[in-house]
Amino acid sequence: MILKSIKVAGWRCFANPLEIGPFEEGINIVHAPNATGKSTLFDAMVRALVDGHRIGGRDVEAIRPWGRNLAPTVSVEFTSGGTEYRITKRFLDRPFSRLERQEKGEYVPLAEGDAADERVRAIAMGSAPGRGLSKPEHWGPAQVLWAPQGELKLEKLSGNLLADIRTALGAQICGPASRLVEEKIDIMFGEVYTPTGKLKSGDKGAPVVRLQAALAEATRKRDDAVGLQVDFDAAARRVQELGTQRAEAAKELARVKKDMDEARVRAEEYRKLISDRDQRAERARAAGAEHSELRARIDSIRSVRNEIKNATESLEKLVADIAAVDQESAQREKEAAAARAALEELRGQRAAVDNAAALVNRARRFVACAGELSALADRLARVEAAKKTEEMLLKQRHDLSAPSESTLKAIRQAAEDLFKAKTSMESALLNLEILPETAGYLDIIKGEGAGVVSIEPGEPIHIKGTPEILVHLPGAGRIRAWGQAGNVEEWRRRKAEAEEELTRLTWAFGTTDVERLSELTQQGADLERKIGEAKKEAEVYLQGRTLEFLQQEKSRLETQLAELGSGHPEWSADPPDVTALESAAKEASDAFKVGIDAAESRRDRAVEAAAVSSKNKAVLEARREGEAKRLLKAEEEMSKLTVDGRSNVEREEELRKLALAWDGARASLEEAKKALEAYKDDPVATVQKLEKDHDRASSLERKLELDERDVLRDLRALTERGPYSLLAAAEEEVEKLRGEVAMEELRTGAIKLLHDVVGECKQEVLAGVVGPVEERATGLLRRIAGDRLGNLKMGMGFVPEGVVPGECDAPVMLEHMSGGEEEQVYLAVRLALAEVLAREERQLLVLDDALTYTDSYRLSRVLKILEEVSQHLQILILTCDRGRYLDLSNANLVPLEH
Amino acid sequence: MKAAHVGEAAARVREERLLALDRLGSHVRSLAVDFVLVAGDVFEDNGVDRSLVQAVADKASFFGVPVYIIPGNHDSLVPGSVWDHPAWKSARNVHVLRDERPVEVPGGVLFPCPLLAKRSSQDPTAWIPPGPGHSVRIGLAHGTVEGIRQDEPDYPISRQAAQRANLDYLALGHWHSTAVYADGGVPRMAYSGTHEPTGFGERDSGNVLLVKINPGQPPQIAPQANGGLKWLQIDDELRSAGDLAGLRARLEALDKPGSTLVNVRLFGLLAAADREELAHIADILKASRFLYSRLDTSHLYPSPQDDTWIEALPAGLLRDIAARLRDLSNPSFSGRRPEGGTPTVAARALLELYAVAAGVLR
Repeated sequence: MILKSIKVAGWRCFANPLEIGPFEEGINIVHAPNATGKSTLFDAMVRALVDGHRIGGRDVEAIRPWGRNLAPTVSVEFTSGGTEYRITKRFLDRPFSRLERQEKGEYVPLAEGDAADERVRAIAMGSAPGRGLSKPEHWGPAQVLWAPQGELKLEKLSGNLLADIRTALGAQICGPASRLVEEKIDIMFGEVYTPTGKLKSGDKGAPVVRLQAALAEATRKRDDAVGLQVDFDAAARRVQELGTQRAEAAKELARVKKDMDEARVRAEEYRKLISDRDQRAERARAAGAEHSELRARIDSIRSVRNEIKNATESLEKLVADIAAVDQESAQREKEAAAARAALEELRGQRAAVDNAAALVNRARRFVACAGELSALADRLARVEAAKKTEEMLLKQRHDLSAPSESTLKAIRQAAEDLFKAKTSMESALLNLEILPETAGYLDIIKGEGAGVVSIEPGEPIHIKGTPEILVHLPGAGRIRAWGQAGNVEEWRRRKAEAEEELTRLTWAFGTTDVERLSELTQQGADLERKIGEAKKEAEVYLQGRTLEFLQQEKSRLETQLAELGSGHPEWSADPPDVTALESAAKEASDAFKVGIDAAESRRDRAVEAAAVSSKNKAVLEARREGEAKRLLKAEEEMSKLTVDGRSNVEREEELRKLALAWDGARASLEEAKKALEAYKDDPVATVQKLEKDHDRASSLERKLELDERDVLRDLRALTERGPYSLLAAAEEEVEKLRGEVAMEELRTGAIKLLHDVVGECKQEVLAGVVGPVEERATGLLRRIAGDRLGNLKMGMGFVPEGVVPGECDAPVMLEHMSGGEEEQVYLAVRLALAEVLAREERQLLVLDDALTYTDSYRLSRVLKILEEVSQHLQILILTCDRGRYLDLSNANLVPLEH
Repeated sequence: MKAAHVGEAAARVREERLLALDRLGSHVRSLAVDFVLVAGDVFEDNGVDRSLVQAVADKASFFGVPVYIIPGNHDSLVPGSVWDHPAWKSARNVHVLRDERPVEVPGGVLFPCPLLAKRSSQDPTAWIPPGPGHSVRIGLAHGTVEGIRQDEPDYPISRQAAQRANLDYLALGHWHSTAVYADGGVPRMAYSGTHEPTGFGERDSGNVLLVKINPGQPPQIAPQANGGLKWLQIDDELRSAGDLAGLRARLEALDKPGSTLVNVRLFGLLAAADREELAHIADILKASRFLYSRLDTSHLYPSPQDDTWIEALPAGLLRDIAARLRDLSNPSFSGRRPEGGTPTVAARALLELYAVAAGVLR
């Protein structure tokens, strides 16, 4: 597409109509100062060629001149495919769009309204924006060709443009036939798959999806039919099983009924025998009871009679025993009183024993107190001696004047410094020795000891000096000695300082002799060590106490000892024998205890004997009372037993008769029992069990009959539905659909594979096409920026990813480059792609204030390139700095003037 | 009644089976037979639609001679079986033989062997007593004659069953193709096969047998064609270019295509030159000439040695695509296969490519 002219009116800063053009097919430079509408022109061109005329919204309102009610209008004349067009659009107020084509030198309307929008958009290869103003991704090839102000960078190319570029590049390789085949395959693919490669669903979806759904539904129906068939077969089997079971149950019921009838007859006979046996048993039991009652009465009379006799005899004996025990009890009481009196008498001797024990205790404390007092006196003596030694040593130390260790160390350092200063000073002086041969004098002019000195033959004279020594030897001449001498004055100053320091440190000790001072320091240290030892010894004996405390303790012990020895003046000279006193006290105590124990024992025995005697008497009294009651009770029992008035003989005769009747009843009972023992089981229980069995068998047979009837009814219902026919039809449908699905899956899979393989092969072909573009862009970049940036690296989307300088293996990302180099990279890529897009037809390249970071040196190279590519491209440069483009000799300069 | 999975033709197949009964009735009448023996499996299952039971009974009732039927293993005599249907009672000439008990038939005695279960390892003819040969003795049984391969015993019938029971003839049912067995050197037992073919691969079905028995003499067994449909199974392996021409000619020469079901399965390697022939055959089969047709090329692969697959296309991208697809369609191809790129799919994709290219290049 070639731009011929642009006309705007009521557009931002262009309130009045403005036409700019005609543009030439080569390079056109529209120049004007900032804020005069260059980018507005660019914007108007885009709206004319890409945007719909009906668009509204804030962005569109913004193109209306400020404060004016003007409808923005734009008209663009351009050439495409050798035909000249003019598109005119008005926005916002009564919007319209009109496309005209030049025919025979005149513009003739071609389309209006939306059709005009669509048609011009198709010529520009753009796409309709969704809402609002179009963005670069809607511009088609212009994404590459048109660079808005500040947007030279290429972010991402839209799918259509990418395809266009690839188509343009790949066309030569693929050829027209391949493109047609590819298009048809794309159509086939699009009929079945979504763009993301998923099978289409819905009414217009892939046939395989519909078939798969139908198959799933048919399979579900088939599964239902299988279930019905299974139910049918199961019902048939169940009817068969129930029939068999019911026949067996009927057979079992008949058997149980026969057994039950037989058992009932037998049980009746058994019940009669039981009744007879029970009557006989009752008779035997009554006879036995009567006999037992009489027998018991006779035995009781006999027993009570013996009881009366025994009680009477026992009562008499107890009366005699009680009289004897009374006498013995009085004697025992007398003996107990005597024993108690003897014990009290013996207890009166306890005071003498206690006094002997107290004397032992006092003597023991006296001896202990005396020992403690002696030890304390010894400790006091040792402490006092140690204190005395410490005082003497402290006085000696005080009298000794000796330097401390630190002072001695400082003295040694000062002595060393002095020695070093002296030595160094000596070394720094020049020496001159003269051995006179005759007597005379010597005039020392320069040197130490300057002045005149006499000289004697054979006696050498030494002169020192610095920096030279000059002497006059009368008759011989002047002698001058010089050489490399040190800094004597410095060493002299240090020597004086050292001497002063030494004097300051040693004046108190009367000597500067370091060895002597060292001895004094040692003597001082020895005395301090001994003082420490004496102090330690005193502390050992004090054991943490003070001397005053020990002295007070001694006074307290002396007082205590005097108190303990009061009453025993002989203990002062001769301490008591504690052991002998203890022995005597123990003997007295032991003898007293033995006497007391014996007396107490005697008393206890007498008292116990008296108690026993008294207790015996009480026991005998109680027994006598009990025997009297026993006798009374037996006499009352005898009266009751003999109330019948019969004699013993008469009672014995009656008992014999009752025994005979009882024996007869028992014999009859045994006969009845033997008759029952003939039955090995309980016929009544057997009948009960068989009746239960019969009920069970009958219920089972009935239940099975009902079950069979129910299942048979179900089976008939299933039969009526013809389950197998349903299953057969369902299976046929499933198989039919399965075959169709398989065929359609194969076809669908083949289309996808074909589509994928086409894509892969094309991708491989196009991968080889990116290379030339990359190579062309690299060539352009090298021409602009030199070899330093190396090769340009482009992705499959034709967007530059970085550069690979010669010394690097990995690409350098564009964001790491300078602003100037970055825009040069993007310009190189845009130019390389623009060349591709312009292969079939010249295209319009727009650069709106691009290359603002590029220096003038590189810009001149860019301009040369622009001149070259203008062979294939119409170039429109919008700039505020015309001077930067003056080197473009053939450029059409278009000043923008309102 | 299952119709062997033949899609839309299933209804016709079912209809033809009932029509075959009418043809059987025509045979009965034209051949003046004394009675008809049906050796089981009249129905595929006891669960068939009862209207079908009624239709079969109705058609048999018009044969005009006694018809003796035993339940087979597919329609065994169990509760809820087809034999409970009242239609059998109303068809007076039709006798469903439910017990292993001799039955008097015109000119002899019939020993029926009805089956009471779907499966059994017992010989159903074992009960037939080897009685005296005063009259014609005929057995009617359903099972598998020993020697026929089977996974497990399925009502096995001894090859000497007729001789052992002193039968003049033993009518057999179960297998779908006609087969006659010599017992003691004399052909005295036979499967008639189904009266109408039921599927592809049946050797000799669609017959009924006319059997003439004279006491003491071997029976005369004569098959009578009774089928209405033809089931044609064609399995062809392609080895070289031109192999398909014979198949096309054979298909074009088939008569009565409206009564013919065709299943063509092709194997082997397809030469590029045969591509159009294959398309032609597909067209023939698709053109509804036949009652049913199916063409399976899923085991047919482009010949890897045939470079004309590539050279037939314009140089460049299309040849690259064709070469890639041909490689993928080779089962022994060891390179990377895209998802879903099986040899079968690739072969089909290659054919699709040719179809598209042919349209473009025409």
